Amino acid sequence: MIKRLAFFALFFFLLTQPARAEAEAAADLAEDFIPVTESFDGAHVMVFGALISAKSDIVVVLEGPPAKASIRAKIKKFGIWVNDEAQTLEAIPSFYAVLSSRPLTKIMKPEAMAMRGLGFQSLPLDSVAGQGFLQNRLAKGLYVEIPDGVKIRDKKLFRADFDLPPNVPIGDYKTTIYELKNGSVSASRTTTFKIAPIGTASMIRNLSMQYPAFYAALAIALVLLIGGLAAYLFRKAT
Amino acid sequence: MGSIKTEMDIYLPIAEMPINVLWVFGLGAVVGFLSGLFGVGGGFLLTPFLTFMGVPPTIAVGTQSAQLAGTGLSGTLMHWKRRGVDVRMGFILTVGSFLGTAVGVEIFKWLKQIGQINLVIVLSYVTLLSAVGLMMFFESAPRLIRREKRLRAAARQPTKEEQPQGLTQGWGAGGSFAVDFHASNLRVNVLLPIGLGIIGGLLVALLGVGGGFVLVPAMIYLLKMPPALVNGTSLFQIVFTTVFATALQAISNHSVDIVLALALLLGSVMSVPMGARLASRLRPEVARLLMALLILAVAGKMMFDLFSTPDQLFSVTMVGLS
Repeated sequence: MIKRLAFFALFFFLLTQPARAEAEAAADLAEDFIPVTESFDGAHVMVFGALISAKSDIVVVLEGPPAKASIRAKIKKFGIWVNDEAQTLEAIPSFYAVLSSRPLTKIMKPEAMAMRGLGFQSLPLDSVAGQGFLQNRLAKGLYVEIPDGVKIRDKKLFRADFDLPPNVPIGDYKTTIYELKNGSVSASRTTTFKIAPIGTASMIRNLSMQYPAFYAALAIALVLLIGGLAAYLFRKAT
Repeated sequence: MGSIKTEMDIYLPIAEMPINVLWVFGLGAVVGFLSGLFGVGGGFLLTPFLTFMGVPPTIAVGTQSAQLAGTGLSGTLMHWKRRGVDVRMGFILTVGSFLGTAVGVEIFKWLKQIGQINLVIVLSYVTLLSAVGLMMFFESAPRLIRREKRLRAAARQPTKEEQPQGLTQGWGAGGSFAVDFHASNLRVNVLLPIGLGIIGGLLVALLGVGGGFVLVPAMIYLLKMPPALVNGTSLFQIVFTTVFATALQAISNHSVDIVLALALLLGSVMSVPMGARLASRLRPEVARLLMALLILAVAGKMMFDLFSTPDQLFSVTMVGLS
């Protein structure tokens, strides 16, 4: 009886598993929490792991929290540069970094990348506004592609080091590690990490978001106090 | 663009980026000096510079209103001490400016539906600035030259401003809406300052900046206020409008970065006295000539931007993060 139950349990377990013929990549993140303090000027992220089979390639994707992007293009009207109407992109990653052991195009077929939703090409950026968005994010270092960002050692171990820029958006990040063989994914693993303010920065942020009226009153009181105090201190100067 | 890492960086919790404190102090100091000297807010300098340093434009606009409330109060109190504020005029301008802001927001929506709004706004602002700047320049420069000649002749005549006899009769002084402004020694139709306030408020609603550049010259030429009262009264009015704007920005947009505002403010309050001191020592026509040159420089820069190809053809704002 117990044997039969166990058999059914196993059968059920196998049924509910995703029908993927791939293994879980053997990889992890060095840190799962990146604190943002008053002196924050970027952070280091390290992803490491072991290759399941030799001669594989590794691709690491770091994806920032999705947000709505409002894009304005400058257009020429009657010989004058003016802002065009804003275009929006819904739920687009606020940060996107692709690190790979070799140039992406040499590792993976474009169809496989599209199917996996991997790389800039798989994001909904086909429109003029989308291309403008990509151009802008690349210039700000918030969308990055590093074709030699993953180092493989002795065909066994890999390591990806990445410096998050100082202007990196705060929030929950998704890291996906893909192991590829012959142009297709043989193993993958998704982990997450969080970039969040701590201490004073966190207090100020929470206050401004959760109690905006109180925050406004506090900000106004503070600036008026400083303004008044300065006038008193410098009263002899005028 | 703000990516040079130094020991002097502080992290801005709302803008989500570090910024160099020394640059922010310096920027605050320049803006504070201009506030003290001319009675203007300095948004025309702050917004583009903060944006250049990587601060999102919405946060630049929201934050500078908080900074300006502090700088404005500091300047107002300094002018107050030497009786340089016309409180009644300041209140009336404030009322007009609130009306103008409320109407401006509606006009903005309406123009947006028609399209071409940005073109209309930018072109009219550049035209207005150029006209005001040129008018001030051609009024103050010859006066200055004449005065130099007169001084050389060593026969300094007391001018009308220095020898007041009764209230100066402004526009509509005899009508039913005439109001006396004793501090300014002036009688004028109350609709004029209200109207000017409305125009200032409209500009702020449509452009986010530029109230001072229109209000200050209007107070000098249209209201004919004594030069010694213009700066203080303008700053007095600015305190009210910016406190209101700060509350609005913080509550509806979460776009006031208090760390950035305080850093700017610490820089600006130290230089406001220097500007105010210079203003009280400069002859009024010299101050007007300097302001004319500043306005023309800003108009020139805007004109240049209209015709030259921008470095970044796209600007991006992320909404609804975290």
